[in-house]
Amino acid sequence: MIGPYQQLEASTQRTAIEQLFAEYWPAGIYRRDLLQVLVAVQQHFGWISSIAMRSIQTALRDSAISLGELQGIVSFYHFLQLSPAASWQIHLSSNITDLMAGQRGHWKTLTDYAAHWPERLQVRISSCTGLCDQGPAMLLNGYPIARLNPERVQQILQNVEANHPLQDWPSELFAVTTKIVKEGPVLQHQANPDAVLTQINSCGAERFLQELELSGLQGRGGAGFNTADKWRNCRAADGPEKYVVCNADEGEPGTFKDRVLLQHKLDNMILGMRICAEVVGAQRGFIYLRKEYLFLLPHIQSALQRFRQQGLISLGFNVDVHLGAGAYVCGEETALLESMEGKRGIPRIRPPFPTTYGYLGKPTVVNNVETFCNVTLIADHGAASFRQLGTDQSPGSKLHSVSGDCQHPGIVELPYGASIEELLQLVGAVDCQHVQVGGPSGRLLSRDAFSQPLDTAHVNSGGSFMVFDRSRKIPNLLANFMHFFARESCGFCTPCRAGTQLLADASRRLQSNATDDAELENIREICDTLKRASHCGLGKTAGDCGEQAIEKYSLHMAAKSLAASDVQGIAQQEDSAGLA
Amino acid sequence: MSGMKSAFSFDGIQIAFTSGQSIMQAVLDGGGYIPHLCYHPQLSVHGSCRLCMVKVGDRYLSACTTEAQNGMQVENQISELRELRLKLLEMLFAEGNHFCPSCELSGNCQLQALAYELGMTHSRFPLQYPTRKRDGSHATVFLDRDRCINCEICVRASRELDGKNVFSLSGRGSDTALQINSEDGRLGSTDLIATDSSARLCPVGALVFKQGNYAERPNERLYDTHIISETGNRRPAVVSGGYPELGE
Repeated sequence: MIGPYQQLEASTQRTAIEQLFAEYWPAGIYRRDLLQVLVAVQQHFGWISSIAMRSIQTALRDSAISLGELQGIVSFYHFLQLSPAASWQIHLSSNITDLMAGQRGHWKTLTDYAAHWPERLQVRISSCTGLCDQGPAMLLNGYPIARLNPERVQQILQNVEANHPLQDWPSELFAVTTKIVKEGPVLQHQANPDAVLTQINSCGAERFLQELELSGLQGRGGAGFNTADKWRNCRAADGPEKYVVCNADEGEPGTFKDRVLLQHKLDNMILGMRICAEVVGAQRGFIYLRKEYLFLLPHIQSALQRFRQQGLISLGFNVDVHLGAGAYVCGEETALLESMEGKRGIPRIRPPFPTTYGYLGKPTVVNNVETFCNVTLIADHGAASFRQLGTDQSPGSKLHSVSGDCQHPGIVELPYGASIEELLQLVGAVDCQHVQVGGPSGRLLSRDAFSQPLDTAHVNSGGSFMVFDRSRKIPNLLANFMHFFARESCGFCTPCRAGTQLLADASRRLQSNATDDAELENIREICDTLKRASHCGLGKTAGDCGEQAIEKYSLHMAAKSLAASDVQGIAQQEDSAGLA
Repeated sequence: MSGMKSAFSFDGIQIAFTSGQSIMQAVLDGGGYIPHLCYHPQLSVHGSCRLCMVKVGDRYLSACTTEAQNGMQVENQISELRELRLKLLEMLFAEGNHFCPSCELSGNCQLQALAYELGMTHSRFPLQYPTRKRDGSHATVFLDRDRCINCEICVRASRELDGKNVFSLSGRGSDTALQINSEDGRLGSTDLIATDSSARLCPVGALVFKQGNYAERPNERLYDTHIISETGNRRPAVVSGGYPELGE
């Protein structure tokens, strides 16, 4: 843990950077390492100085890169900065659940302080930090602090003021807790790695692929693609060089189930990757870990080290961690691959799909953390056992990250096919009016839909489940989600780049009731354009999200009697979803 | 109609194509037209402007990134797509500063020409009035980032046709902006020269030549007298520093 950041003399800085490179990249820096190098520099020095950029230019082995291109990469990622660092850097999570828990007040306290002491403290906002069950949350110099309240914020400011080295701060501040409301087979599963791998080896890749097919496992990241089909495509793809990538970039606001799996089911996940490598013939694996989960890096690295020592992963198949740098769009698998190659995370044109043209143009399987855990479960207990839970179309179970207006926010593992109502009862959501299932890119559902089953055929979800009671107003949800999409749009295609910004502006006007029918119509038209013309899923789901919220809002306005004007909504507490 | 040849239906007209061609390539080769700004036949495919959205069955696809398939039924000239493209154009106008009456490229601008083509009268979306940095440091070429549509034609042309690497994009989302790959970030410090393709392919008035502008009278310029679906996307020599046009 690094902090406070210090302003270093040019020569000191240069030496420190060279030491950093020598330590982490003894064999030299290649183009594909670029984002990792930038993340390391950012984490160590708090910013990417021109000295650092020049050092990178000099150190690059395989290609020249101009300063402009380097800046283009840095400016793409929220957690990389080109301006000098304050001693302490705070990123406040701006997800709707953080705002509902009082983040606005903390934003004001912290920015007031930072305005007086800009060289000491810098405060920015970030999208969801994956701590919604214990929000409001922030990242301090990259490390999470959850359960913010005025006292804890004061405690943070006192430590900032005293400029204590970060490792001397009370460790309790940085505690991230795990709340599991209900366990299922994935969370209960304790695999014996040796036994599982022996079994895979004895039955062979093709047999296991058949088993996987029988299981009907669908990807748990949100898209629900058939896992066996994906693996089969990659297995059939030409070329000796293949990759397995675990997508641990869970950026969908309200999702934190992968964090919990990384904390508690890491072995199963790595094992799943190992099995995948066996089946598709890959020699290398990567865990693309979102930067917000930097605090899990030592835990992951020590697990990988243990696997290596036990010979479970080896020269034949090694796994490395690749850190993100703050870009929701990199959860999209082709943007993730671009990012892994050290570039701006712009989604690729598909086809070709990663199974034939993935990392460095080689066949690649990209699966979610939870998917790999399920693979190990199937390898251990078989397809028949797996299919005992869930529905015919959606076998197995699903982890839901529950946050918002309920008594027991946390992780709920439920068989596919369980209803929204069942989930709400488990988490003690007594006065629930709306749920946002699958995050902003999912579905906004009201009471009349609570009997619907949660599965890939009905209400599909990547794992985010946010609960809203009667006091919450649709325009505030809309504004928060639209600001999120505008902040996270990669800017590549016209509808998403322009449309998400227009929607964010319009939603702000809607929050203050400064809209008329023409504006509502405009919002619908923008949403429709996004849905039909966007380059990737981000733009499409942004349009879908806006459309659903406006639909609900219009219904609400039509039934004026329901207008909860007596309820203090969050509109008064936050002037905008983005806080700033 | 030989059964061996590959063809697809484009608004009911049979278009022949060779394997691997996109819908856009096949249509342009066949003498047809689909609105576009970021596509250029000599450059790698981009797919960012989204103006070439066509309909295949109930799917909306960008014609420049979609491979033609035998027997495909592609719809192009339908009111639904006209409306979609109009909205995309209005978004482009809203996010930049496109002061057509005084722009050097007026009358020869592909963005403006498509607005004419689609009958755009105004932008229904609130104008954003960006204030990005302009760059007048180069001897012959001027850069106005507020007129840039992020199509990366100059980025690609510099790399793929000129063998240089003058441009790239920086930032993200609505902060995305054209960036110059020189040490001081200025166009004048690059190896860009006036004859470079990258300086002559900008479809809008973002990269303009400093000399020789306003040489033609209004009503005599390319898109005053022709519609873009007939001429194709062109930037005439008169607004390209007098250097020959780089045809489609």
